[in-house]
Amino acid sequence: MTSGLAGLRVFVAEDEFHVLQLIEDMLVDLGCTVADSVSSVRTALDRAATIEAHVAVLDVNLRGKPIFPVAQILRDRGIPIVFSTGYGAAGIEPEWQAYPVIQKPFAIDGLGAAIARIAALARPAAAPRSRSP
Amino acid sequence: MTARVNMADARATVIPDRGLVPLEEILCTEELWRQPQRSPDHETENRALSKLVDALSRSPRTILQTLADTLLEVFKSDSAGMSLLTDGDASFYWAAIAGAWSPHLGGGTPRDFGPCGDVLDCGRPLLFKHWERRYPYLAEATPLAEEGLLVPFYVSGKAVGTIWTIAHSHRRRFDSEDLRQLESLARFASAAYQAVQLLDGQEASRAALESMEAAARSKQQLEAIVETTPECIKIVAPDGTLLQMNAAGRQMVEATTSREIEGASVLDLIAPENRAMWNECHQRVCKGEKLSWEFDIVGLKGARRHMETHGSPIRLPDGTVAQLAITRDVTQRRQDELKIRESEHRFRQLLQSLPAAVYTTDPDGRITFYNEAAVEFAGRRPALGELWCVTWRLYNGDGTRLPHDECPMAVALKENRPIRGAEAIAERPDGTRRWFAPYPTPLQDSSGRLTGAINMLVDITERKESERQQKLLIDELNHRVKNTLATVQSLVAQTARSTEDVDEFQRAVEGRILALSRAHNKLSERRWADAELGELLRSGLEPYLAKGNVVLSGEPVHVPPRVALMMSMAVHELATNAGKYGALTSSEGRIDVTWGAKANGAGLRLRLCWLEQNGPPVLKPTRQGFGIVLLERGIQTELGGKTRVEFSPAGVRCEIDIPLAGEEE
Repeated sequence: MTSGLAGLRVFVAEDEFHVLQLIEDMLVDLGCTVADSVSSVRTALDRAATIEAHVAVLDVNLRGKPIFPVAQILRDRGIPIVFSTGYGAAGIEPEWQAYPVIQKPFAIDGLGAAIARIAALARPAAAPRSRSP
Repeated sequence: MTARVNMADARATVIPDRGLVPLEEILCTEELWRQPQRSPDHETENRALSKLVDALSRSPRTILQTLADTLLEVFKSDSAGMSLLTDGDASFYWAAIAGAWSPHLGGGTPRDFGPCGDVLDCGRPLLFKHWERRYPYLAEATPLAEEGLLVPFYVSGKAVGTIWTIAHSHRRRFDSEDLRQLESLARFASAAYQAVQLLDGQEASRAALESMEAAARSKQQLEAIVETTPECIKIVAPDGTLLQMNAAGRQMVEATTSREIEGASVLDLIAPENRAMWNECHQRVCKGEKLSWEFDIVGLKGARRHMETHGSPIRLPDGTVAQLAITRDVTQRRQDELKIRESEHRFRQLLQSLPAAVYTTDPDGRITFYNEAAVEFAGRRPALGELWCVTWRLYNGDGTRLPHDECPMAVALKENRPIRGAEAIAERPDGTRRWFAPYPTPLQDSSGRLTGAINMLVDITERKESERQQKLLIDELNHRVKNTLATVQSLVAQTARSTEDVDEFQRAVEGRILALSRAHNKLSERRWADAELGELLRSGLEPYLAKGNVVLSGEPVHVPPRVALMMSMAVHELATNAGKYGALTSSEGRIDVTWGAKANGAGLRLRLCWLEQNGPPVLKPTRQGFGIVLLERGIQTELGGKTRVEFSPAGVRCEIDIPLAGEEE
């Protein structure tokens, strides 16, 4: 599949296995690479500090814990973020409401458009510090 | 300026039908009842009467002036006085005046053309307004009368004069209570008038009395006064013997002639329980004190009445000191008071018994009453006189502080209107908070004047809490539905990737959705708190259990929803694989499923073992199918567990090990 997103490395945080699989498959279909996927906030905090990614797709709530501390690290590192949620936009804290939010269940086009939008906004500042060749 | 109004002049210069305003133009009697109502001031009235009776017994010559002075004092008016018919009933003269009009003492008005004459013609009290508009001669009686209230008085049914009170400015408006008191004093005026007449008569006949004071003390004079006064007037000897009682008194004690009672002990007429008290007061009066008290009498025919008496000492001709008492029947007043007290008591009892918090305030917002439900609601016992509300602290629905003087009750009082539809939060001294709906309502008396307010605080905390719960529940339901749809979306996508044709796809995707649905059923039974693993497995493997191919053994383990859903899916994949390639393809095949929960250092772990035997030889699959991915990566990703799957030739063996609690990721 060809899209403007080919080659983007995506960091995924999602605690529902089936949904994670779906997102990963969609990303692959969009031509992206899954940089890493995590299913708990603790692991996500670890990885966020060092992950080499162009975009992050974050479920707002992993096993009852809000993802925002993770989003904070990624924002500080200049990595654009797309939130996914089953709660609707009301579950997003006010300071994050400018970011794209995709509602579960979503189709590949919705995910692709959200990534394209935030990646375009963030580029070129959002380029990772060290990109894989 | 002292313009003495001469009645002869008045008669000479005024001709009744010449261009004057009609009588109605200067009358405004009905205004008396339009003034704000006030309750009867019996205390002032009784003090005045008591003082007058005392003055009458001491100094009858000056009693008319004393009466005028008393009128001025009682009514706090500008002028007051008494007019008496004279000159063969052709005119009135002002026999006593107090206040601003004092210089006009001795003046007067014609009988047929003046306010006093109007009052006698009408035979009832009248309130005048600027009478000089009809009676020009009164323009000389300055200061001019803004309002004048006149009451007629009578002796033996014949009108003899009026008493009056005047306001020279708008400062003082007379009302119905003034009228009531003036009428009461008019009865005394009648008695005083007779006393003076008697004295004048004796003076004129040069009776051999040494002085007027001595004459006033004589039994004969007192009899005349006493007999005609409408209040009960009696003289009681120190030993309690009733020396004299007037007609009004005889009527009160149900005697038809004075012989029935005079000479007997007055104590027989006093209600037994009041006799000792009455006699004690009587003895004090006979020793020179002036006293007022209340007691019950029982009439000769048995009727009980409640009396209020004012006793003054009086020296009898023989030198002994007796009691002169003016006594009035206050049975009605007392019954009214009791009725009011009773109705207030009932009202309070009613409020007290209500389960809702209720309190009342005066017009300034000071608390005058609260019920026990209010104490319970507020978590504190307020002091009477506190302002606006029984609660400790108030907050608006958005959590901001609500000052007490801006609370709905304060608004209701300040704007004199009931407030409805408000909601607020009350904080108790112990820090707990309750939502409530207040219903503050201003209270008015019969004339519409604000007398206070009543407020009811209805606790709506439970409603608010259930509204919050309901919102949470709807949010949660929404979340679950969305996640389930996303899961189904994923199952469909994953199944499509691993099936060859539409029939196979449909069977596989149906099987997976139904496995998910069975787990949902078990979780719903326990309101999504948890599910019992054995039940989940039995429900998922039901078709095989009946044939005896599958044996389950394990202790009851309650697992949370995430574990229940994942384990159901995992077992479904294992069973499907066994039915396609493993132990469930032959009747000899057997599967043992064993499980248990064990405490392990940090927490509880669940271990489940799936062991296939007696099936066809097992071949290691060539590609990572949906089932293997779910078992290995799914269990790990979603539950933080580990799965080991062995495709040994004797049969598939799968071990699942997951943390249940305590191992927080």
